[in-house]
Amino acid sequence: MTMSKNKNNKSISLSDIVSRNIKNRRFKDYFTNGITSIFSFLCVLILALVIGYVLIEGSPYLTANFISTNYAQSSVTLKTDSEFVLDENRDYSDLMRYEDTVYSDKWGIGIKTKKDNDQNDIYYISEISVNSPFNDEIIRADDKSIFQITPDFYINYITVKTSDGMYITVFGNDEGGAEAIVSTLEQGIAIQDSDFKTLGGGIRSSLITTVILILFTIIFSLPLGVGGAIYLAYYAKNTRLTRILRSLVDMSSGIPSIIFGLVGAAIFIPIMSSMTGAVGGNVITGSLTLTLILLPTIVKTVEESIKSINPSLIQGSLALGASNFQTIFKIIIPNSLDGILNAAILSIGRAIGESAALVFAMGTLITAAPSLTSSNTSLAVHIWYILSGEHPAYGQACAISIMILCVVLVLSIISKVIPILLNKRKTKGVKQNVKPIQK
Amino acid sequence: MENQLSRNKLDNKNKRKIVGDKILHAILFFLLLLASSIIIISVVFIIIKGVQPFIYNYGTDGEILKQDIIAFFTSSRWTYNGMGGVPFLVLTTLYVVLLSLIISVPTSIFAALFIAKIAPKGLSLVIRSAVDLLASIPSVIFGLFGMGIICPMVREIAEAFGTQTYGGSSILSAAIVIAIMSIPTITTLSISAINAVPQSQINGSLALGASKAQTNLKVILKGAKSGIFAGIILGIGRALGEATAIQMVIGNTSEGSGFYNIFMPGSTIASSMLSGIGEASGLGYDVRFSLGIVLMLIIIITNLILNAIKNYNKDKQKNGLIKRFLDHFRKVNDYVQK
Repeated sequence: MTMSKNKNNKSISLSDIVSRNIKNRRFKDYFTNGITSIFSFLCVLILALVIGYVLIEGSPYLTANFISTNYAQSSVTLKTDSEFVLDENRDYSDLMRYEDTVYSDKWGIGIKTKKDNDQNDIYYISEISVNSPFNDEIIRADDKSIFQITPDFYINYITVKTSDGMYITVFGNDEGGAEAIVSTLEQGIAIQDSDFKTLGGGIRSSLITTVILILFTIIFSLPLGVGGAIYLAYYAKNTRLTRILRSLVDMSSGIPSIIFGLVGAAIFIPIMSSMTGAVGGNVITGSLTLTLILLPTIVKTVEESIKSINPSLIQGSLALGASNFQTIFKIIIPNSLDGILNAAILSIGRAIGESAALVFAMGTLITAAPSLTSSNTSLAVHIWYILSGEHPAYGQACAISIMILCVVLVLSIISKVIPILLNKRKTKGVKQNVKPIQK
Repeated sequence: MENQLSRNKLDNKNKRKIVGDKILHAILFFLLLLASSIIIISVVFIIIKGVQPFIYNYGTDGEILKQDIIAFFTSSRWTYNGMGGVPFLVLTTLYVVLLSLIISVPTSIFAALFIAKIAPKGLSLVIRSAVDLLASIPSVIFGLFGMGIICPMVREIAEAFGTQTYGGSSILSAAIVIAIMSIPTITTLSISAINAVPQSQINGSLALGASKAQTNLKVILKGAKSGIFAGIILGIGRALGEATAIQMVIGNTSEGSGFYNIFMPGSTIASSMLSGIGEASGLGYDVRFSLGIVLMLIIIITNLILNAIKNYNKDKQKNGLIKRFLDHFRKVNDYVQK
């Protein structure tokens, strides 16, 4: 009351206060709306930054070579026999003489340029004449066996012996390019030493492993999760036991994945190695570990979906004399397809993105040939591996990230579209079946 | 005779049905048991394997090599050779998560308010989808983003402050990355909490003459408080257990000294479980299980404390809300009477 007296004394009218108040409030409204919009655009900005960074850094590296080559580099050291001397008059007329290829008429080979996974020029032998010494007179330096060079190998360096007993070395990364290599070769009469390498740094094995991992994860986790969910939603009565089981399922979703990785490594790796003799983690232990992580989520997702089925469908099925078995397979599973598909999408997303658990359960060794019983890496672990070294390969990591992000994007679109389509059908069917009671 | 036969057939069929049902029932129950026993099996295995480094002797040639139990709880330096201690790891973990909350909590709450109540429908759908997409990005990509963008940024900031960083790998970088990763979780839960505030409360507030901003901040956010808090608890749980992204940006030091300085590198529990795993064997590998026990304990304790705070607030809020409403009413009455 003292406040109002003061106001009256200063003789400010009520309308003044109200109008000032309204102005003040409008300003406050704009201010708070502005702040909230700034923060929500921050979220969009972060997403744009992540995607933009990955796209800009990674897209030059995302080449067919990068996807199709293995990570590990293999190299071979080749030379000619110590008594070998190149005779001048060989017939190299079978060479195709392409324009983009530089040919050595003395050795009968064609050298071409291509880009490696770091966008540097590399030179490889694209063509070998039938009469070329590269066909049958070049031997491996280590075991003296004849080695047929393939376009997979690129030239690291070549040292030739000239006719006056000098040695000249040309490196693949020298300035002159293919011409320099050919001109060096032309001067030589024998190859003293040479090193050829295959392209490394690719992701072929990790890509294949990831696909296998996804398949196994779905095979292991979906039946287990759907089964548990059906029991919870269909059979389970509200007893103390089921309440405990349910809360246990709930609790395990709070455990971080790295703990599951440790558990997977402690349980599955010994079991697998006693069964197959494999040492360390592999794809199967990896997918079993992912199953541990995913099972609670799948049970929850599918249970929700089963609970949303119109109960009259289930009751009708049972009333018509169908057994529980028939009801489950003919009514419950087809009608909870949206939940099951959602669970499958969750599994795929997790298998593609999980890294910490797989580092323990599957290993960090990037192998050349993906196999079921040896340590492998998924794409996410591959990223982690190439970034944790001395020289992090950002470009390649971003290129892999582009692939992962594409899959994640597609999955999230599918997960939004398919349930809508399925639900439309579901509700339509129910609406047709239930006729309104007429008065 | 024919009738009898067909009835027998029917009986057989029914019997088979019943047996099939029973088998299916048993199988499904077993599957549920499997799903719910995961947590028990995990805890048991982590404890069994995590206690081993304290008991078994890993040394060869008569050397004694085991995790020193006193050092484990007191040493401020974390190493994998049996003399490491966890206190600094625990402190850094909590410190990083706390720092990340400073960024993520306001961002998430205001973003959720904007999406749920302020933005026009189309815009809110766009931002909502962006948040959902952010949630589905794997942590290793956030780690890559942290190494590529945030670490250089932090290095610049540190240089502006006149301090040196190890290429930007620091506690601050880890906190920013973790904040980015927990924003979608907190935002999504906050949105559903905000949507759950009864419309009658909002209408009541507006009818009583409160402006939209006042309603948003004082009625909606207050009403959604417990839901938002639940989101924050979930976000903290995720942040405590995050390994890959943190390990990539935090710098992984073994020293505990500079942990209060946000520009210094550090190590969290989860990140030190992960770092150097490629070459680890013997004690260096098994001691990670001991860290696993510590991590689980911290997550459980943090969750218990936070839930206790949440429930305490809930009890208080009930009185508070009514009281505040009455206060508000009284003030308005006064105003009108004038």
